[in-house]
Amino acid sequence: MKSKAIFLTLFIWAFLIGCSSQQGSDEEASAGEKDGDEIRIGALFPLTGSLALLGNESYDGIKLVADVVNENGGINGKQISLVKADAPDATAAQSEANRLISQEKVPLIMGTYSSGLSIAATQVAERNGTIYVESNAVSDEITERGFENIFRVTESASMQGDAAVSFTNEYLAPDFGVKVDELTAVIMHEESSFGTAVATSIEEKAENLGIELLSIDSYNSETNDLSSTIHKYKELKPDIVFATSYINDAILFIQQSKQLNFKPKAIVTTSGGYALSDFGEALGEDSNGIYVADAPSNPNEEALTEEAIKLKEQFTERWKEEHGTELTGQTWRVINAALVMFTEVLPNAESLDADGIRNALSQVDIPLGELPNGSGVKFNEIDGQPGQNSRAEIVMMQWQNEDLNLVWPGDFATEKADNSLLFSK
Amino acid sequence: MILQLIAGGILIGGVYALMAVGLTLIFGVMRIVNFAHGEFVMVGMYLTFILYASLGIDPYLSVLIVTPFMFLLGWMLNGLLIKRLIGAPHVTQIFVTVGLSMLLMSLALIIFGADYLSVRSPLTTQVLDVGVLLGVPQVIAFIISMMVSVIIYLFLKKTFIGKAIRATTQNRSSATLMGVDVKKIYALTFAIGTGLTGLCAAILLPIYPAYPTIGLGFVLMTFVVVVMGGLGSIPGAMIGGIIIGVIETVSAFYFDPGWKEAFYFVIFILILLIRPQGFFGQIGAEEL
Repeated sequence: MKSKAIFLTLFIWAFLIGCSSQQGSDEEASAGEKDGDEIRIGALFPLTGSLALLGNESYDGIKLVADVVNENGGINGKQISLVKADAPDATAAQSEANRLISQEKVPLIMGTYSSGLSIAATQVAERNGTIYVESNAVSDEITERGFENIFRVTESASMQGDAAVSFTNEYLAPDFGVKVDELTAVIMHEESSFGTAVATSIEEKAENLGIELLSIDSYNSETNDLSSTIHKYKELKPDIVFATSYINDAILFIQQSKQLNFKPKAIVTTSGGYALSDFGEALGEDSNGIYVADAPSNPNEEALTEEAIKLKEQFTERWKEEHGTELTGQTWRVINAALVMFTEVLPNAESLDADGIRNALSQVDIPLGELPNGSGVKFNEIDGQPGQNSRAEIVMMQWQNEDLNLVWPGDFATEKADNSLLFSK
Repeated sequence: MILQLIAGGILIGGVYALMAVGLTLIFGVMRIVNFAHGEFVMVGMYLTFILYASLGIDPYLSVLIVTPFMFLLGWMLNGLLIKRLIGAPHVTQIFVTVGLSMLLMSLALIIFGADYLSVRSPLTTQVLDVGVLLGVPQVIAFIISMMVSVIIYLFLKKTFIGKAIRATTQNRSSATLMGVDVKKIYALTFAIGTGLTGLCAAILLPIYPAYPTIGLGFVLMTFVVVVMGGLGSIPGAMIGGIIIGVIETVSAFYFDPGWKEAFYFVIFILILLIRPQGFFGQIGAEEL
């Protein structure tokens, strides 16, 4: 009987925790409506479910900027109040976007981390005429649809693919001592909107340069085995593997490649799981040598303005204090987006409605190097995508000594790229 | 190459088999569809991780702690929750076990966050080269899971309690009439099934990281294995697990890896068309 009592208490306790956190955000929200000197902004991320790791980290990124801005007097004297929305899947993304717009009546939603979720949520925002600023989902489709209320501060998938292939062309081929059209490659990507978009872009750009693509393979990111694909690559012997993965599959691919003794000349990945500290921790020295095309974090300070250096140090320190980890490129994306919105767009918006915010967005003009990760912001049509920031930087990082260092392009780089690191032990 | 693929498939299949043995036991004896089975593996993996991170216990050694712990957890959960589901409509069973699975996932998210926690063992990327390449942790997992499956099988066949469990599987009311304490048998079965997830968890942690939703990746396939092998059949679960493992690796090599689920489901459906009761199942067992 005693064990039952203990268990019951545990269960009740667990439920209470669940309920109270829900309650908390609701209260915050209704307080905002009452006194009117708050600006309420929707923050929609996958906070539970399989994408929760980066979903929560993304939310924390926005929260950090909001806290800093609030401590410095807020936006024109008004405090920022974030209205949290949890979107573990596309259906939830739609219904939560609906809730934020119709019940919470926020003038602006920020999100979403995952491309699939973003595509679903942005549709709702566009239909309801609410501004949606995408901070860190990269699929081209998000801004490709010509929506007038959707803006993306970070790079698109095609810009990521472009960087992976440009790096191959400008650095790897000369380093291997061959012409770029003598290289062979395979593309391996997870099958959701993110992986597919990056892979399509790499395919197109690699073919333009004459890189021979031996195989293109997609897989479900929840897979628990990639050995078959690796065996196939061992037979095909590509010079380069282009890989786009979430975290679980990224760890699996590198672990099994090492195990099955598959060693191409270079593994060039794009963002996602490869850029996370968990990746380095799980693999230890086996992570060394892997290239990751990503939004920059910690670029060479010569590429930054003084103001940007100050912001960079401030946020790095504060994040470390609160979370005990280093800021990754992934979280910098969100911080950038929040900075642009909270310090440039919203303070200069004539009115806090869709028209006011949209006009302010279209007038933003931040030169390269003024944001703490070296990016700038200008929403002028690029690749036929109206809401896309054309000044989002994308760089090549490499895992070295279990740390992610910036190695390309030259003016951003803090370390030299080194092809001999891959599976060297 | 085909040999290499088959060997890899058999190894990964061994792990599916061990997971399926626990599930098929619960399924076969208690007629309960336990959707929280994968989450028990997740709980076990976190426990193994804690033992490793705080006390430095090797995952393979922590089998001796995690398995009994999960056995006890299973016993308590049965007393609290599962025994009330015996004979309840399927819908009730589904709601309760799916609810339990969500609760466990959310608890893991609250307590551990969504980080990917992994154990770096020197064995993780070791391989045996015997003509084909076999990963050392995979080989260990395979050997342990086959051994344990055989032990469970012998336990059911040879011991008195095993006979009582099988009697309950075949006919609940006759077993009661023969003096079998069916309630105890149910508790024991559920605890054994859950204990096996603990064993599984400990031998999986050197291969896969622990995170709140890892159970979801395994549970669907485990159900396929159980149904393919025949409800309640241990040899069925072992063979089913290995077949699914091999189908996965071979189809992922010759076709796109994104299609491997489609492949094993097609083969699964074909097998059910020919043998609706699975390889070793009794006809109509699911209706008992």
